Amino acid sequence: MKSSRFRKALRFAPLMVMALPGLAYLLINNYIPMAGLVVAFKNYNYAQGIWGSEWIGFKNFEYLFATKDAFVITRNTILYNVGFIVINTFVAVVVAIVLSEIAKRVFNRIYQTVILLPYLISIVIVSYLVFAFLSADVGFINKTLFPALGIDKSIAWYSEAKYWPVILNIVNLWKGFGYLTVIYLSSIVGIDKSYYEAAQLDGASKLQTIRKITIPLIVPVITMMVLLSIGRIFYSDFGLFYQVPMNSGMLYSTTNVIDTYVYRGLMQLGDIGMSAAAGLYQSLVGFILVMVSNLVVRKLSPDNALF
Amino acid sequence: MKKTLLIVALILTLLTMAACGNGSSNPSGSTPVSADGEAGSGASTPDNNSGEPVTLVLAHFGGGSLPDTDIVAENLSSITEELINVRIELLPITFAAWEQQINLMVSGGEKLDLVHVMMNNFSTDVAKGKFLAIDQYMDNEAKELKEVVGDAYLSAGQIDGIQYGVPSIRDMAASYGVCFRKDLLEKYGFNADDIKTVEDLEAVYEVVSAGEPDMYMTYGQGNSISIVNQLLTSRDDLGNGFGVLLNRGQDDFNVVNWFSTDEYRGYLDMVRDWYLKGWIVADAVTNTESATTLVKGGQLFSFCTNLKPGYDKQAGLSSGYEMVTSTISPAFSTTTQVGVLSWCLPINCEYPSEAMQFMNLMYTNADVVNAFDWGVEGVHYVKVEGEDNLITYPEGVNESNTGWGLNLGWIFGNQLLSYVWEGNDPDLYVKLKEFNDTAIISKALGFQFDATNVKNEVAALQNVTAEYRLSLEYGMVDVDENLPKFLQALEDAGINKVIAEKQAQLDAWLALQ
Repeated sequence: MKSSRFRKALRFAPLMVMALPGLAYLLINNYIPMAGLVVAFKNYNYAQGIWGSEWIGFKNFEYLFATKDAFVITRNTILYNVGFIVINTFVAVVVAIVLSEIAKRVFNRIYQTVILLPYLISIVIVSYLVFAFLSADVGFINKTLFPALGIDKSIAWYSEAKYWPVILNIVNLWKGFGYLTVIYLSSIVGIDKSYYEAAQLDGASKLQTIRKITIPLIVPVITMMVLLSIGRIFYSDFGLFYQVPMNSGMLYSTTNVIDTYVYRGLMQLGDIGMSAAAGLYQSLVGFILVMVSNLVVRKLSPDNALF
Repeated sequence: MKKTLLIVALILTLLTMAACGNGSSNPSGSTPVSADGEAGSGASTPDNNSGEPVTLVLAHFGGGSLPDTDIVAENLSSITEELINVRIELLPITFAAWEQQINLMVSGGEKLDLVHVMMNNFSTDVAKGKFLAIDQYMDNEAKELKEVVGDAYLSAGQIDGIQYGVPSIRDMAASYGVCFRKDLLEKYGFNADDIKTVEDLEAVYEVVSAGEPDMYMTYGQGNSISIVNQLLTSRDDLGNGFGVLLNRGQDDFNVVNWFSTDEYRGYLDMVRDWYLKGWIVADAVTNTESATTLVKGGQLFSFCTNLKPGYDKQAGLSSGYEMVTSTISPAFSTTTQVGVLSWCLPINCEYPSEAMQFMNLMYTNADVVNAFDWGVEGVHYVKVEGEDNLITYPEGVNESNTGWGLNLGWIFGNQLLSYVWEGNDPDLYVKLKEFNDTAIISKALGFQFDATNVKNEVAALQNVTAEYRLSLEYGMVDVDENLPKFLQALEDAGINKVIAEKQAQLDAWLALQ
């Protein structure tokens, strides 16, 4: 008995060895340093090192909750991330379905490349592209678009906070949906053709085919991507919230998120304990949310849960 | 058999590839530290008992490419080896990576013997135990240094009366004023020397803006320091600007909230007026161009800045036009200004005594200073014909191909001992010394604020000032509407607590004087 199980396991040995460098890297880079999380609870002193510094309990976490700003940044972080998940997923699925219907392979390739391109552009360059549109002095919108539409005034985009939820969602969508589309497209392509043939025989319309076949069969992939995004719900793309608004103070009420708040607050102080506390807070919340969401999904449809 | 062989071959290939991948990624990730670390251990056997020269690792700012670092270090070492039997290894680190890399080196116990520290981190770094106390060396190894620097300046490197760092000698005071384009100023009949007050300045702007409607009249220093901050600074900011002493620290020792004073309100109203008249660069808050770049592009007439002797020549070089300066706010020294950069010994310094001996040379020996500032004579610089302390590039060398284009003389020891680069006033450092000696000195010089007890409030306050300050101080928003919001936000973030803490520390420091 034991020898046959061992023999079975041996068949997977090459795969295990292939995975070994990656696993070792994961262990050394991600798991072992977790011990250093204690820094978040200590008052770090260079002379005493991590293990010798004194414990100060939760004091390093206070600055994240103490002020009115704390509510603003938490609200901003969550709302933006929820918005990003919903909008990006919706658009990516729609575009993936549309792309899967295109007959000619050449065009398919071209479109995929074009929509994936923004994902690869550095966010700093993107911030300057946005600046070219929104600059109060020389921007495209103020100088060209508004006069063309007959609108007389010019808006100081970088001074008005209220436009930025929309602007940042658009920028994030433009930059990110290509990546998701490619993923969804690859899973659509993997759907068995016989389903479509059967549907055609039954006289289903295009829309019905999409609703009843395509979407239900890619729900597992969508669920997986959404669950993974939920795990990062307290993190933000630093470049998106710091570079794109050009670090303009007047926009803070709608563009300040946890990451940028910590950065601005600690640049001068350089306090290692406080920044570790912020990181711990973000990952802990993300972890709890992933577990909870996974539980919910498992109750609703056990096949789609991550684990 | 064939199948097993294939599998084994595949596994071996993958392992080798993984190893290669990991190996090649290391140098790019940690080039400065690992490369110099290895060089250091190989260079000489550190043993200060047997007469072998001791090697010190000296970390400093190094922007851009410095391909001749080893040559310069060798040259410097040859001088120091003769004098004090010490060899120096230079470790240039870019400004952007500085904080991270020094933190890593100190907490990782890597060899690091001399490092310079900027003022905004000094007191927190000392509180965190990063540096050695150097009092015991001040009367022996660093005797001459103590005389040259002087007690007043040395006090800026002390915390609670204990010496941790030595400020470099450079411009130890700052005056504030405006730098104009000379041609335009003269075109409209003004003379830079006559402009002494803000009223004089406004008169100039009125006339020039009428004549040059497409130009901006004034600006600050880029999008991080505003006009109010650069033109009208008459306060000792006591470290972080949250709680200041008014009138250059000449009057009393009451720490006040600068942002709630009538003086501040007056400045904001004035700047708002200027902005509405179109005198200030429109996108001031988001504009990433520096003032000199805007002057170069013909869009800006003048800008407000901190001044020191020779600034007009410097600005002239970066902007391409001849520039003149007017001083509006006279020179004064504060702890922040004096202690902008101090030299310290990190706690993992192996040879503190030798390091202090070298530091002594940095402040007293012109050869050492010039070897670091300018490089090797004949290779990186040559003396100008007939001049004793003017230098320039040798034949065939210019600023784009020089091997040692550091040009950060203000960081290294005593800049007053350094050669002057051609194009600047040969008496530059004589004038600089006079500038330093005649500046008004704040009575709080030497006081360092330790923010450890109010860390959370400071973090919140930094966010508040980042949100409101620039737009108010460039006049971009309505003062009546936004100043109350700013003041309220400061209170909510705890500025009164910080001020009370600062006052308590200041009183305690005064008691020790």
